[in-house]
Amino acid sequence: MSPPRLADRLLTWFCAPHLREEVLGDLHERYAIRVKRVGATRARRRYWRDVMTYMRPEFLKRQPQNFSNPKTTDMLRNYITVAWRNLMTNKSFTAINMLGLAIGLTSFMLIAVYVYNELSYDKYPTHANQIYRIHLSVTGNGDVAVYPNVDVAVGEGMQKAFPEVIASTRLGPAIDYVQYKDNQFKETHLAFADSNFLQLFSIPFIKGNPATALVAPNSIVVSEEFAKKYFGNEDPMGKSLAVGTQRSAFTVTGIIDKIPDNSHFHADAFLSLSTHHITNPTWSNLGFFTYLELSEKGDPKKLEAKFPQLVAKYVVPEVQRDMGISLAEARKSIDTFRFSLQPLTDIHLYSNTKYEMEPNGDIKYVYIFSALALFILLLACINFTNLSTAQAAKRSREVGIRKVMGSVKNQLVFQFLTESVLLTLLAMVVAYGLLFLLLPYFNQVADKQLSFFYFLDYRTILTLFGVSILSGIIAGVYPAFFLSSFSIIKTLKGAFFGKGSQKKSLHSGLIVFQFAISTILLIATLVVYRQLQYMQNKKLGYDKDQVIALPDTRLLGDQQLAFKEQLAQNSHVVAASLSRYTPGGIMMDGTQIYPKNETSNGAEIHANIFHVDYDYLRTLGIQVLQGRNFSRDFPTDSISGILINESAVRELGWKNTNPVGKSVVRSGNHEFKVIGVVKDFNYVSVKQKVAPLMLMMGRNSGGIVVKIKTTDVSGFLDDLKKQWTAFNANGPLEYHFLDDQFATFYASEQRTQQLFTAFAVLAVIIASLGLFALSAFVIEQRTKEIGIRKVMGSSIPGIVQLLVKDFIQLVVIAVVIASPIAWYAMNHWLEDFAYRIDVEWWMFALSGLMALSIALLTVSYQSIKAALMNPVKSLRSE
Amino acid sequence: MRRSDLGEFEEVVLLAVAALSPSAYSVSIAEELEHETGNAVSTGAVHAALQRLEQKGYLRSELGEATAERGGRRKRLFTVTALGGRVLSDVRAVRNRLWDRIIPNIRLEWS
Repeated sequence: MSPPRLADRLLTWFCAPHLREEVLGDLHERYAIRVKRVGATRARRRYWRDVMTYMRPEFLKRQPQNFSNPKTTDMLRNYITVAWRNLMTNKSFTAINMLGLAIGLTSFMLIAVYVYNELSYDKYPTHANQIYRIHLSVTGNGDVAVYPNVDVAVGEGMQKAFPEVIASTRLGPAIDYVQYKDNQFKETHLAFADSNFLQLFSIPFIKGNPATALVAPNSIVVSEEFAKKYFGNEDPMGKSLAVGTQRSAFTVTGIIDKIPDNSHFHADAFLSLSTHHITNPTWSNLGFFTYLELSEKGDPKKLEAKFPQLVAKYVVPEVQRDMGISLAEARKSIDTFRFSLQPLTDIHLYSNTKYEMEPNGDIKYVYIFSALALFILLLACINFTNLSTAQAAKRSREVGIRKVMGSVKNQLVFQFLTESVLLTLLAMVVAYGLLFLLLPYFNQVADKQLSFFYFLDYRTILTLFGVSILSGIIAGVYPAFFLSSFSIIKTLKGAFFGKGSQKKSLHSGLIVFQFAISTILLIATLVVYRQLQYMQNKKLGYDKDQVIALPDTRLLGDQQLAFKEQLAQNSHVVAASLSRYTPGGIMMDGTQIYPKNETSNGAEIHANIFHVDYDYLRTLGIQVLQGRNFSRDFPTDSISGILINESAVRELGWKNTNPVGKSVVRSGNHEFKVIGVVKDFNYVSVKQKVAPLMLMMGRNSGGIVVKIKTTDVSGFLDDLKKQWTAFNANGPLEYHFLDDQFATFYASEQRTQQLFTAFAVLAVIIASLGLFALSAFVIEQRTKEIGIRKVMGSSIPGIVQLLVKDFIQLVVIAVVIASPIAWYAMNHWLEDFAYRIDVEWWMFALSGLMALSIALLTVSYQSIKAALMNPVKSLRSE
Repeated sequence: MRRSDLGEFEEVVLLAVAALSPSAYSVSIAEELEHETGNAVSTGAVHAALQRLEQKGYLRSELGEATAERGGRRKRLFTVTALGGRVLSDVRAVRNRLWDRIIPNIRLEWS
């Protein structure tokens, strides 16, 4: 029975070589003695302990050697020299590899920065982790509507009720005109805020006192840029700005730098919320974006669980009063009316309510793009792996000679790895060049403001350096082990190259992988493109061509109607309507309603409201299906008449009855009579289903919609401006075309499409580069075979077919693998859209065909070149 | 003479080498010490002490023959040098002088 092998190995590892012999000998001898004395088991245990006693400096210390030992740095220098020479001998391969890797690294860098930026949202407040936004979800008719804003009393009420809430603050975005002397602009990013808002969000002040700036009514805190726009070089502090059509005076009490880019809100100026005196704060409606700061120990989950008691206390009595229903009925609100807490740092990526202040990001896209970046990088690494192993024939002699000269496997592996890492580092330099060129385009597509300096930050450079080295290792590890594993005799005899079947299956697998990824991306691009086209061309139920919205005719004051009448006289104007509500516009009113039936009242639903006038339907070409339009002949129309859309009919439960003449009741116990039903029209993005809508007269908030019919649009607009100034308006004319606004709906889909297209193109480029080089190599190896075939009478097409066939087979397999994956993924993506296309077979066929023809083009260039070669040339040598 | 550089364990090992000469090497010394003292003595400790003593010039060593139970590995045999011998006798002389000064009555009390 021999002593423990593992202990021996441990000892040989740590013990200095010159002592190994005597030490091991001693140990073994002692072991033999002990086995005789106390038995094998105990002897083994003692053996381990004895081995441990050798762990002391005397035995660890290596003896100085008399002969110089090449230092690691010397070897490294040699490796780099050899690697560099190798890269230079195969210039074309190096170029292809490097280009592929550079593209891969560039997209990786861009995506990494994009993802980092997405993840960094709303982290800037000092206590970001303790801040939560209150969301409200209302259940009705099986649907849950989630609102990111709550009524005015909610924040403060919660702070009073629960000790773990240490602060509450509210924010209400606003759009209005701001004037200082002759400078008047329409400001789209104003916000009313509580006095503690800026402090809670740690917004640094340049001037003014953060604690008191927004306390007094009619105070305004402006950003530096905003101040410059109005005041130029004057000191803005204490100056007065006129806000709104009422020209209310607001005093500048503070200047802030600006709201960070990675914030879910961006206001240029904050107005004190104390300006509005709210006499009777309520709980049950919608109002401000409300944020709570919890104490460090505050648990949001536990806090949420306590919210229903507040609903019972405050919301129920209000519902009872507003809707005029019984207490028992009103108590149902406890279940349907839910407050919840949304962590501040999650708002950007996880909160996708319909009523966000700004379009948010989506964690899904963060995942998708991260995966894509990794895949592209992987594709580039595969090129290297593939080409290096394909070159094995050329390198085998080198390996053989090196081994004969005493090189051990580890050194060879290290040498090959140096080669691939050197290549990726070169690629990284090229990638920086590409980045510099592509960054503006990327910023535009991704809707970001990333500067190139971001990439010069030492942390970014370090990370990229790490990624480059890592991808170099990933790309090089297989070739390194593969090449260094050749046996000396075989390589030197040249017997190595029989049929390397194992090697071939690896190549094939990698090519299939590359083309599968490329095909998936091609299919994705196609589907996204089709869906976008579908949404843009979908029949919307209203006429959006040559419709102009003038959102701010309220500047005209009492003259609005006169202006509208004058417009209607214009020969180019088909119809004009006094309303600020347009499909796709930002204006939207809403309420809870329930149908009043003969026997009992139906279930409550949420309905959106458009405030319109008599000409609205005509202006937008909306069809009336049942009943009639608003009419001047019926005076009650303007008080209690409403038009509802088909979707409202459905949700009110009136599907098989005639809704005309029936009544609905809205909160406040107002009753309205349905005078007609309009066809559903998409008044919000096509991404959402058409929701219930009521059209009612009056309260149009000061806007006009005009339908024109003219070939000279710019002429008409000039005319319009002239008329506007003739009316002595209180500000500049604002207008936009409905179809332009419509296009902005799909900005995010357009971005997705552009990114997918870019990635698909990159993936295809990388894959084809790889295929090109690989086919060149394989064909070069078969030069003699081709020569002989030609001599024997083979035709050129026959040879080309022979050479191309293998590669094409692989691409076909790739397409077959890619199709179901793409089908699954794209169906998943489409689920988000209310109106969507089907994924059809021709999309797969087209993408497959594209992948195939790209592959065919790539391979056939080399094949035809080889097939056309004169056999005399290829067979002459040797 | 630097007396202080001879540790207690080193002294014992040096004595053991002298006693076991000419076949004194780690295993025989460790076994001997274990036998004499009754405590476990590892070859590692002995070997380290031997190395130190050799460095100090009290011992010299050469490689001996290989045996089967050593797996064909040679052993390192140690012998005491003249300097080592002198140090040993010096140590002994010091001890003896001290022993001699102990009053016989007290020695009787111990036993």
